[in-house]
Amino acid sequence: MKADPPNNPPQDMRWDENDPVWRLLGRSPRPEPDAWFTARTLARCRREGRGLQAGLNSLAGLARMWRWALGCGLAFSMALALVVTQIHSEKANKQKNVQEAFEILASIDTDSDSSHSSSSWQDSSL
Amino acid sequence: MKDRFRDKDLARALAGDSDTHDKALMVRIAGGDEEALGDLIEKHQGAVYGTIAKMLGDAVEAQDLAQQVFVRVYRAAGSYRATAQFKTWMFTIVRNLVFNEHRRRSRALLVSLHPPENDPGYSGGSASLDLPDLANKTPDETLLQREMLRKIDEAILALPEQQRLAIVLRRYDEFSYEQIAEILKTSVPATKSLLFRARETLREALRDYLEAENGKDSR
Repeated sequence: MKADPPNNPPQDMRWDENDPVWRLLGRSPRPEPDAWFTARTLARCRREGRGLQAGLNSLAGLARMWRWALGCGLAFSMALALVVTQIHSEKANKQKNVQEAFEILASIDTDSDSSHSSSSWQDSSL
Repeated sequence: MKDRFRDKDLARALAGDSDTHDKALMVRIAGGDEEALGDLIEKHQGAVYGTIAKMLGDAVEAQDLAQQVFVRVYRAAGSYRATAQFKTWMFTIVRNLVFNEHRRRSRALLVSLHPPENDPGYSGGSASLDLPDLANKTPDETLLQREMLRKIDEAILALPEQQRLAIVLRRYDEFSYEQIAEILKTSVPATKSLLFRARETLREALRDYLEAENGKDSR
């Protein structure tokens, strides 16, 4: 049997069936999976699919409740911002207080410097 | 002639029914129905595993890749949109996995599809194809038959991957040119050309056997 030229390929299945190459290929059958293939594949799907499926489901669930998620997200970020500002201002206040305390101490020190020179333990007359 | 048209219509209708059934199974799988997944695997395992085995020439590797195909189908069930035929879509996954595997293997692979009989990963061919009846043959004939099967598989494995997939899909899975073109992401004329070149290469590689067959036919 002569094959069709490449620029005029066959249009229908009958060309295949009449081709000796086609018949010869049929002698070598397509391998079949063993009897436990389905069970093993199901187990693998369960094992490998579940983790991903759960993740996707939770994401999908979150996507479905986007209004709630957005509201919660906004509330959470506002609360976080408040807490951060509060901590920041408290820290600044504390720093201010410490600075004031230092200034007071410094002023006390300079006051006491004059008394130091006349303190009794430094008095050489004793 | 009229009967031929009727047969074609019937085949088309059955294929349509089968596709509708597959899509219904996918909807059930998306809803978490494992029984539907089992049905889908049962229905397509022969085609998926057989195609991969023919493409790779390795029963164990074929088993693993075929399982991966179904895992991907299972994972994609939620996002699956029935725009194309289910089988075509599934074989696009087969194509991607097989071609990736080829890329992974840097060395040329010419392993026989007919491993020793005690290989647990290989259960032989299906009875539906015109299998040679090895039981009723003399040891010499059996040996020659095995040799021929090995040569056929080697000839298929020696084809470039696109041609090989096209020929396997056409010969063993009876896909249409349009479906093969969709799976290979190419045009219908390009698919026909691929098939033509594959056939010519196989004709040349298996010339001795073809001549022997012709001799038998003419006797």
